[in-house]
Amino acid sequence: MFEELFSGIFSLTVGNVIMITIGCLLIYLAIAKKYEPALLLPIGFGTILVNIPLSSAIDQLLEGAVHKGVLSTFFDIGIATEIFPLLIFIAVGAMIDFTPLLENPVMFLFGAAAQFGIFGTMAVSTLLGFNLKEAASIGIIGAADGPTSIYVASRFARHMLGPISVAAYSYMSLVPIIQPPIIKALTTKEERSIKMQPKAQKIPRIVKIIFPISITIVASILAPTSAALIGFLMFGNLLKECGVLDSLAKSAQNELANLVTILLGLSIAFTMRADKFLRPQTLLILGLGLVAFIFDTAAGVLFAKFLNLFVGKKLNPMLGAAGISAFPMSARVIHTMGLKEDPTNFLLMYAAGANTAGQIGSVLAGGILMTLIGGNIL
Amino acid sequence: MMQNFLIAVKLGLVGYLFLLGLLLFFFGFVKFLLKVFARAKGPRR
Repeated sequence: MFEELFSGIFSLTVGNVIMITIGCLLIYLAIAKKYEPALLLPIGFGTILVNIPLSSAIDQLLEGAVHKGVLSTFFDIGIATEIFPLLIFIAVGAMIDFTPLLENPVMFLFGAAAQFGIFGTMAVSTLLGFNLKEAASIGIIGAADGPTSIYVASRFARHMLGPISVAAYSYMSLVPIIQPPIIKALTTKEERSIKMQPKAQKIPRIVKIIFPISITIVASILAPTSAALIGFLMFGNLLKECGVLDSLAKSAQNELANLVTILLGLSIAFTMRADKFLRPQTLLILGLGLVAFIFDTAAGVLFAKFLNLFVGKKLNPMLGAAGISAFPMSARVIHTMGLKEDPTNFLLMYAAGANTAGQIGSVLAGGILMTLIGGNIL
Repeated sequence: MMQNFLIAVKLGLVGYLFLLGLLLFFFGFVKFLLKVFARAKGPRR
């Protein structure tokens, strides 16, 4: 009887203690440092729950029968089926305003260029012993887009979902620390001071409605594996832009986003068990995720400089770095850096355009990776 | 490992260029949309 009452204490392992500490650390980062608190707090708390010995939150073998835990059930329902990240995309789509991108369509190019980190890191990861599917899942951290990272990893490397999600969300919140030194190293003061004139072009409503529909059709036909990803993102945006479903759009932006974020965070925590997380592989994944963000930023800036060789009116190369998907963090960073060089240079609308292009680019990059690695083309 | 790396480089290159091409197409498409609808809303002669 004594042993049964204290079975939790007797079953506690060093791994459990380390993981509970990591859970507390994630909660600390979420609350004290405000690092993506909406995701890191549920992940942190869930990490504690799944690492309690004999926790009823995960599957337990009792009297020869498996008793499903609530977090295992969430995982099976929401992550294994890819439903949670897709629902998040509806919410994200309903929050995004593509107007700055439509005003400056050239920013589409930066949204593509800054996805280099995904593909570059995938190649580097194979050199460290990861197979192609694992490498693609690590590379997708460079999408700087949590739901896409989770979506691809849940399909290709479910066993690595925990570290990949933590890396993706942590680095997204660290964009103000990661990007500026890379941008400064690759640009001169003169380049950073290039002034961008504000555009006063009004975007007709019909364009804002046609845009999500046409992007979905074209992207889905060319990369069918991305249909769900881009489709849900653009569906959310259509809810917002159609003008007749304000109530649904607001629900997607608020209730849906909040509810699914809680469930998503807790579900991801299911993969944060000591036996799955405490491996040398985890450190490699975290390191490679950082490499992906560095590659992204550098590629965006260098592409903008390359483009400047051919255009008459020079573009501020810092805008290239805003082509990553970390929205709106990256746009703000570029805007602030621009103001530091020249207090009269307002880059925000251009940077927001590049940033929203990065949202589309990262989702498409995820779909393209799944098409290439998933066997549709190979 | 090296074989995986070479495949990853090949796929990465194909994927990246495909993505650039796709977004270049969207750039042209949005330009076209704006041209059409901005003209439609302009003054008639």
